[in-house]
Amino acid sequence: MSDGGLVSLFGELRPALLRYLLSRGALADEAEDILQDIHMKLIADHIGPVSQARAYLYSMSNNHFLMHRRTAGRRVRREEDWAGINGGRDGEVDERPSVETELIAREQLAILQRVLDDLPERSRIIFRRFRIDGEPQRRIAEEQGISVSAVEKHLARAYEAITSARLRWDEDRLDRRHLTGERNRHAT
Amino acid sequence: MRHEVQDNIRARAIEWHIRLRDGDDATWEAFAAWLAEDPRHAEAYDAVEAADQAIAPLLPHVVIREAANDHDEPAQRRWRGGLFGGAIAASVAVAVLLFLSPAPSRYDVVTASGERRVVALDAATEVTLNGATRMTFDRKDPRFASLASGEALFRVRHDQRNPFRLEVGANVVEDAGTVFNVVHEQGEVRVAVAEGRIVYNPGSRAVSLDAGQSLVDRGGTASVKVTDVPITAVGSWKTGSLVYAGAPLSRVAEELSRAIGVPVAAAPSIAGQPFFGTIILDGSGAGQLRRLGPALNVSVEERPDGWIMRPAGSAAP
Repeated sequence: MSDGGLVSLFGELRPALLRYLLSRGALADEAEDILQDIHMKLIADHIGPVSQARAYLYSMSNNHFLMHRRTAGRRVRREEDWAGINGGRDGEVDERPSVETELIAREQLAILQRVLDDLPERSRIIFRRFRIDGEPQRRIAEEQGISVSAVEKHLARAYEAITSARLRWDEDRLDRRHLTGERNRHAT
Repeated sequence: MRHEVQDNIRARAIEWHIRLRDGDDATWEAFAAWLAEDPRHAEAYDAVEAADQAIAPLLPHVVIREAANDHDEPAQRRWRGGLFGGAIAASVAVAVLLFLSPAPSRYDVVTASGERRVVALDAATEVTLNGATRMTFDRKDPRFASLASGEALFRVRHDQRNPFRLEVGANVVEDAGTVFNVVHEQGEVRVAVAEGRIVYNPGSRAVSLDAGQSLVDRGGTASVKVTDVPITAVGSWKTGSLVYAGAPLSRVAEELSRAIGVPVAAAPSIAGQPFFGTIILDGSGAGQLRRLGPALNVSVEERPDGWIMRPAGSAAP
């Protein structure tokens, strides 16, 4: 079966996808690159007709945008002091975590664990089913015998806690980079 | 005041993030419109998405705690059997080891109804996806596959030390040198073995299945049912024939729709009626459905939303 449908839909949707990428904060030429990548990928891969084709293209654009930004972010960080953390060698990302990335990861894990432990049990379990097991909300609602909107409320609570913890952690880390040597100030 | 507005935007951003994961066309379009309304929307969404991405490598290492006795919300708890309870207990037992996960190497392969694809994982391991099937594979691990939904036929190289593992929802099929077929649809798992042997859900609830046997797992508390199956019937869809020995018409309809690529359903009054026989697909697509009516002892009608099998003789002309 041909994927011509998806490619031509992409053509129609291109201006909307461009607007989407720009409002996500992509630069104009970056957005064009991303759309070009997607176009090539749609032509090369034989993706069968998908049920929600526009959603599929939006989410594909979103993924490509994130990949782009991650690569760009890595480049910038290498030029800053993160180079040391990432293992140092220019142009290469060390696959093995250095001691320092490992410390950072350990600290993040401890924070995430605490955030999840502090959630009401039900929110925690629903979060697990959604985010770790990848179950759709409808299915979780059936399992739990509650409505989809109740499931969404539990998930919102979990994401709110995670997002706040993450923002706090980022702020702390910025502080700490100014106060050299104070690494353990917030350690558990 | 300003904080209040920001909190509000954050709450909306979180809602969007949750809905978008399985979002349909309308959800994505509404989200794009919301983003374009105000630059603060994009900023808030960024923070939520970044936090969610940042936890991805950590999630395999967190422990989801569940109270030892679950009587706090008895009326509303509806765990389906021991399935999830067991999974959670198992994850608690896993020590929290720490290494950052490598870059994601998994990829999806999706077929449309009526389409078929073959994925070769190594020289002697091959998976044939039937129509309307969604699977995940791993570039770095040729001994892994996951069947999200649909049907696939597996021909697997046996390696005792590194068995091939197929995840089917919360279940695992582990091979022992094998040709086997798996269907995953609406919470039900069906496995049939043509050659060799497989182990379904290795561990305490293991069910072992030999060539010429099949099992049905409807999930939840229902026990897994094992029956015999003609070896030639296993995966016969691959060569264009569907073999049945008493399968309900609802399943015949489901398999026809996967093979032909048009929706086919059985009316509720005959959905459970058993069918014995072989259907050879002649490649004429939907046209064959009407001709199949007499063989299936039903009348087949075309409706705007697909084809329906109804009790023979009940059809309006």
